[in-house]
Amino acid sequence: MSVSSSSVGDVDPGALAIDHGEQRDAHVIIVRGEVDIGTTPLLSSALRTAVLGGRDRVVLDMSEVSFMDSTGVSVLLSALRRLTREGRTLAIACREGELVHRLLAFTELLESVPVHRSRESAVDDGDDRIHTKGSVPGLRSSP
Amino acid sequence: MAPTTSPRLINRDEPCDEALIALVQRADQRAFDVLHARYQRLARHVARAVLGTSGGGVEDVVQESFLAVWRRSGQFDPRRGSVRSWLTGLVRNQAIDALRREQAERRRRGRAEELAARHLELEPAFAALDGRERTHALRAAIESLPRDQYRVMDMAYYLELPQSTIAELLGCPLGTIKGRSRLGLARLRETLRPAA
Repeated sequence: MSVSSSSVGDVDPGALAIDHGEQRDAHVIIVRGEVDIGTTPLLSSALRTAVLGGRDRVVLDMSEVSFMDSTGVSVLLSALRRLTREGRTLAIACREGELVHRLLAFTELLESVPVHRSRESAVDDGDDRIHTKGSVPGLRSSP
Repeated sequence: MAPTTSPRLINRDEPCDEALIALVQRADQRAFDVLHARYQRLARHVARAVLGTSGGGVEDVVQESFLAVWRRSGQFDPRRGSVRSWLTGLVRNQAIDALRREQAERRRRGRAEELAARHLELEPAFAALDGRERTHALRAAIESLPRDQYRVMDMAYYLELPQSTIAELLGCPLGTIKGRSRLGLARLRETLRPAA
């Protein structure tokens, strides 16, 4: 995969680092660190590059993301809407049961985005998917 | 005289819409530019008609519509109508999507403000501001909180998560989240209190 990198907050515990490049037919964005009000613009910019890049499949690997706030969720939603409208796909890779997966489930994004346990599966639209709310401890269906 | 060949021409310099679309389907940037120049005013007019008097986002809608023309030119089917009506339909759909997004965002912000006003007992102060000022004031006040309090208040107001869920997501005891929420609210009250 050819990769370019960007990061903010090298020393701050809230640092975010982003690599992106092409893997097979997908535009892949690898995010590490914390996505919050200070770092979301970097994620937003990476997603904008992917959207404009024109690949049909955009993969967001958030396996190494330890925190995400509402600004991050908002940026994901915005990219998802844009790609879906154009008949393209956003797939996410994250660690099952950890914060990103739980947040996707709580905000019901899990219903709209294919979420995979590994980047490889997300790139290939493979079977290693995280399917249901049932895998999120403590999550109950909405009343 | 040589027979007319495809693409059909209106005259020597002005290809008809169908000829232009055929060229756009073959990724001809120049044909796309001509189509864009020909229809951008109409696209703006259609977008403005859907988006209403506020007119916000017209340029975004027009841009996204022409991006869709470029990407989806292969979907144009002359048996189903003219290029003009296909393009107008694309703009109208993009504008309706934009309008729905804006309405959903307004509802979400409205809920956050309502929740904040109730918690902060600041209804009179909030009522004195117009909608956009309220949104900015609340967002700025929450963003100015210390990181731990910011995270709790952000999740409570903008993701509408209950404290027990926030505790679970952040891996903290519920008591810690309640404490951060109390401190955050006290700071927000201070920040948003109107100057005496």
